[in-house]
This record gives sequence, structure tokens and C-alpha cells, in this order.
Amino acid sequence: MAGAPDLDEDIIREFVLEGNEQLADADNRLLDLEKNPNDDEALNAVFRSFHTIKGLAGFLNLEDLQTTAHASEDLLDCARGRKLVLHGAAIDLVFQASDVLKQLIGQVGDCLESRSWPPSGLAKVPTLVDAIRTLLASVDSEAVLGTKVEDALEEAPERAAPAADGADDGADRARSNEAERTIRVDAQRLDQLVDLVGELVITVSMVNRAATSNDNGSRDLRRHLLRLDKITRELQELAGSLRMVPVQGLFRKMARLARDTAKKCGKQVIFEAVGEDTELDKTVVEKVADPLVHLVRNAIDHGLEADPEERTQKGKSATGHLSLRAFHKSGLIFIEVEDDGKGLNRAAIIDKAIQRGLLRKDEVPEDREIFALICQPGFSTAAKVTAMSGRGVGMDVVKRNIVAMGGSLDIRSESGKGTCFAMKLPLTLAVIDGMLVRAGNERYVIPTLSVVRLVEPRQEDIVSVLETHELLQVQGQSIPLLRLTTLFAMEGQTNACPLAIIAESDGQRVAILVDELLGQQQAVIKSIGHGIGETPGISGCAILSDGRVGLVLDVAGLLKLSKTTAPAPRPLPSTSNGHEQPAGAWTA
Amino acid sequence: MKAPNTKNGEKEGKYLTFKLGREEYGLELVRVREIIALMDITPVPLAPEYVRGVMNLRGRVIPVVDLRRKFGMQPTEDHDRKCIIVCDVQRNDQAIQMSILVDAVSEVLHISAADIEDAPSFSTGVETSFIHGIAKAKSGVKILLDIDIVLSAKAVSLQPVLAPPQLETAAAT
Repeated sequence: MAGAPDLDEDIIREFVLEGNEQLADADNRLLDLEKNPNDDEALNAVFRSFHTIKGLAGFLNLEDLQTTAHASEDLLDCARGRKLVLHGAAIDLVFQASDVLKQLIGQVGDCLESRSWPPSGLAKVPTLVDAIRTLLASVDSEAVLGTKVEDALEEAPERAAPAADGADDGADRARSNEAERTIRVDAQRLDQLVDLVGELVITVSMVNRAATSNDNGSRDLRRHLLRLDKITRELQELAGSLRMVPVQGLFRKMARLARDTAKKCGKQVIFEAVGEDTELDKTVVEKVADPLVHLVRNAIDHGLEADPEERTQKGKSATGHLSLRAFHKSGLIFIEVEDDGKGLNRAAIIDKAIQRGLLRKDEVPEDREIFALICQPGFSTAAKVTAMSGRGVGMDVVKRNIVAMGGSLDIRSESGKGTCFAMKLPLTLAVIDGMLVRAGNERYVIPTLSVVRLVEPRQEDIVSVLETHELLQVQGQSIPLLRLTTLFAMEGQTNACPLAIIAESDGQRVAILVDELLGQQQAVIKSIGHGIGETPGISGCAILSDGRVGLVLDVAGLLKLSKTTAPAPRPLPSTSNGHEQPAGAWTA
Repeated sequence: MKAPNTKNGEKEGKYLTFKLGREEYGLELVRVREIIALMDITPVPLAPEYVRGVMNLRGRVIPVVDLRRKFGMQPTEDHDRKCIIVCDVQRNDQAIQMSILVDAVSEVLHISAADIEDAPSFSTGVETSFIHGIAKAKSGVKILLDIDIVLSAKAVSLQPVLAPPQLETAAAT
């Protein structure tokens, strides 16, 4: 490899972005090509992607990348020249080449971060290039047609003559036109924009209030303000939509994953994606990727039957189906992974649950509850541990990741017919629906998603335990009770007839005693900042409609606090040394 | 990138000076983002006592550290002259914004290297790494702070509270 290039960092960064995009596109087209080897358009597109990468890599003196791309390009060119059909071993090589390129580009990206140039390269590059060369040699000599390229030539005897070059030009032009309509923007700048617009909305409403409360506000002024208000709201909506991206990219990655997993398990799978243009916040897309990878692998490895006959006997097609769906419903986004395989083994799950003490023998829970058990840590009924799944870790992590995003996972399954994992996610992680409550002099936001119900507790419903903890009786259930004012050591008068918010996190309930419900509020969640350190019971903050910062309660954190603190007998502290005691000091 | 801090050459520069009680402190001007009047601050429960809370600065949520409390001084009532100084801080290799609540902002001074002395050493066990140096200016002695260390999670209070006479003798040696 050549020495350190005097290249602009920006050029390299641009290359990493462009390269990854090209490869994602190539992967997608390769999947089409695998289904239909005669798809000339797809073939040309793949060729173009590799060609672009080769050119860029040459410019940057990245030899490994260049040779890999070059070899694959030769192979694809051979296919374009009708000398071989991309099929079986040949297309596998192209897929491998795409993976190697991805890793190499990843290395380039790492080098950029660590400022060590050049990238170390990969040992498998020569092996791969040799494999491609061998294959090409066999095509050229045509002597060994029967072995490697097999019946490739016979299989596609007549294809329309490729109008390759002309088509290339046209498509390239189309591509560059498209590129002109979109521009890349730094995500941080977008976030700043959204923040500022949010602030603008608040300021406008403050100005409005001031102008209308004063009698001297002229009619003109009010009219203009009304207009300003409208524009600001539109601006806010637009700014919010800037961060939305379609799930397409993610789904395409899953298509590739499904193909590879199916190959490894030796299963025939038809992958189907519905709702690729469903949009959701970029941060959600990033966070949902890991759980999705797991679900797709699981579905193919465990969900689908290994034996095609087993399927045909049940009246299903021999080839398994896996579908990925995304859609919006009532302000939430749903992503579902459904297979038409065996379905979950209900009896095995119940056995295992009884064995682990999660269920009593005489209990007859609903299906939904049974299936939810597979998300318990260390719970796996897989008889066989494979390289990819069935280690008993995984589903709990999937569930945890989803819950951490404020979403939920629902599992439906029917024996012999298949399983569906339905993720319910917020559209964006930035905005939540919350309930605004008052406790003492402070206002807090509680995410509506975690609120079960509100009750006005009577004094006799509250039971004190060991004089340190309290329980609230709700419909025959005893729920740990937390007094927010006491827990957070706040001043201010406490309402004589407070309100209890029953909130739930991970199946556990807690009653949070507050003074007043002030209303509903959509809140833009912000991090409370690194400067403060741990803030138990608080997950972040939001700017309230009057411009003040309100804290967002973290129900899971409060639950944890409810187990360690002794809220009841602690006297309200005085002004000066209010909340400085560490949480540990109150441990019961 | 900072070179090893042997001479006071690179400490020369503009400083924003402010008051805490009778003492005058200085903060490198390049770190100062803005100075704002005392505004509505939301207290954060269960946070360290020196954290006054968080405030909304044009859509950004910024923690406010009460410098008096951070230094272990007697807290005082809020008054009109109190100010919040928003500054850029390095924390765990991340650049973040935090702010400090001070009694009053004084002036911006250019302090030359010749007028800066190293941090004094007090009795054993007293940590002074957060003091960048001691500067002599016409208007009096200023304690120059290393804001990164002042706003780090660790305790930086000089216990017992340092009194100005002590400081002067220390600075003179």
C-alpha cells in the first residue's frame, strides 16, 4: 500500500459513505439477481457499484479494495458478456466480495478515526481474488464447463443482447439527477435545528400571550402574530420530519441477512418485505437494527422447519416464508417479523417455566403470557445450539432493547402455522407523550406509555409495612407506593387528597403519589447532561410550554428506588440540606 | 493540545473575573460562552448538593453548578447581581457545556505571564489542582481556575474555606 496520502479527510469520509451506499445497493440488486439471473438491469447496477468503488479506491490508493473490486468487476463483466450465469458458486463469490469490501471500507473508516494510515488490509483478499480468477479461468478455457459453471451456459441460452453501454449512460444520468435532489446534512446540525425551532415555538407563544394580555396590542399586531404562529408550527412539523428516514435501508440489510442465514442452515426461504417506505426517526432505525437481526435469524434458524417434507405434509409450500412488515398505526410504528414455520412449542415453554419456577403447575396463563416467557433471561427451549442462535441469550436482550426505546414486543404463534414477533415502537425517540404532574413545587413528566391508570387513593387503601414502606391496595392488588415529594425531598405544600399514578415497567407496577395532574404534554426528551452524574428515577428532561425545564420520570428507576428507600417515616428535610444525601443513606 | 505546564507563558491571556464573597476568581475568556442573569432553574433531585439544577438556554438543557457550594462556602440568598456563566468544559474527552452560578461578574482582564504565579500549596491534604494560578492585577489578587477540574465530578472544595489573608501570603512565597 502506498504511504500516507495527503488527501483531505473529507474526501476519505465521503468515500466511506459513498462506498457503503454503493455496497448496500449492490447487495440489494444481487438478491434480485439471485432470484432471476437474467435480470440485466440488476446485473448492470451491481457492475456499476463495483466499478465506482474500484475507481474511488484507485484514487485513494487502497490496493486491497481496488483488487477486490476489480476481480469482482471482471466476474460481473463476464456475466454481462454472456460467458457465465451468476448462479450458485459464482454469485456466492460476488456476495463474498461485497462483504470483504464492506470490511475494508470499515477499516478505512476506523483509520480515519484513529488517524493511522494506511488501513491494515485483510488476509482473505488474495484467497477471494484467487477464487474469482480460478472461476474466470475455467470459463475462459471452457474446458471445465461441466464442473464449476455447470450448466450455466445452457441455462440461459438466449438473452436479449445487452445494450450495456447505452443503458449505463442513461442510468448514470438518472442517478446523478437524483443525487442533485438530495444533500447530506450532518445529523448534529439537524438536531440543533429541531431544538431551535422548538424554542422558537415556545417564544412565539410567549410573545402571543404578552400581546393579547395587554390591551395596547393593536389588531394588526395580533393578526401578524397569528400568522407567525402558524408559520412556526409548520416549521416545527417540517423540522421534525427531516430526521425521518424510510426503513428501506434496514429492510434490505435484513434481506441479505435472511439469505445468508438460510444458506447456512440449508433452508429454502422466500423473504418478503412490506412497507419499506414507512418512515421513522433515524435514531429508532439505528436502535431497532440489533433486535431485528436477532428476530430474523431466530425465525429462519428455529422458526422454519428444516425438512421441506414436514412442511408439505402440513399443507404448506416446501419453501419457507419470512415476511418483514412495517406500518404506522395510531401514532406508533409497528415492525413485524413473521414466519410460517412450526410455531412456538407451547408445552415445552410451560415445562421449562415450571421447571424454573416461573409458573405454578396449576396455573393456566393466556397464550400471550406464555409466549412472553421466552423473553426471560436464560430461557431457551432450543434443543440444538447452533452457531447463530439458541443459546438462551438473545430474546431477553431483544426485549430489553425494545423496552428501552419505550416500545413493546408482542408474540403471536400458532402451532404448525408460524410465529409473529410484533414490535410496537414510538415514531421517534425524541418526542414522547407524557402526563404533566405536580408534586410539591415541581412539575414532572411521566411517559404515558408506562402509565396504567390513575386512582384517587383513600387513606384506608394505604398500608404501612415495617413503618418504612407503603403499599397501595388497588382492586385487591398490593402495589408499592412512592411519595414523590418525600422521595425527592421537596418543599412545597402537599395536597391533602393526592393522586396515585399506577405505572408499569417490565411487568412490575408501582404507585407514584403526586399532588395534581396538570394535563397531557408532548415532550421533546433531552439528556440531562453529563455534568450531573447519576440521577436515579429521572431519565431526562423536557422543556415545558412555559420554557422551564421539567424532569421526565423513569419508572424503571423509580421501581428500583422503591425497593431501596424508606419513604414513609423520613421527615421532610429543611431548605438548605435538602437533597444532597446520597440515595444509599436512606436504605431501609 | 496542551504542552506540559511548566512555565506560565501559555497562561497569559484574557480572563473573565467574578466574585464569590470577598474573593475574586478568574476564568479563561476563551472558555466562556455567555453570561446570563439568574434565571429559572429546575432542581434535580438526588443530584450532588452543588448542582443547583438545570436550565433551558434556548432549547439546550444546561446544568448549573453553584460554585459557592462546590467550594464548600457558606450559601447565600439569591440576589440581582448573581450571574450564571456558561462555559465550554472538557469532560471525559467530550466537550460539553456547563454553567456556574457566581455572586457577581467583575470584568475582563488581560493578565500577562509575569503576573501569574503557580497554585499555592496549603496544608497537607488540601487539593489545589483546580487552581490554575494566582494573578496579581491592579484591582487585586485573582484566583485563576482550571474550569475542567472545578466542574469535574470530584470534590474540589478547600476545606476549611480559604480566607484572603492566607492566600496572599501563599501567593507571595
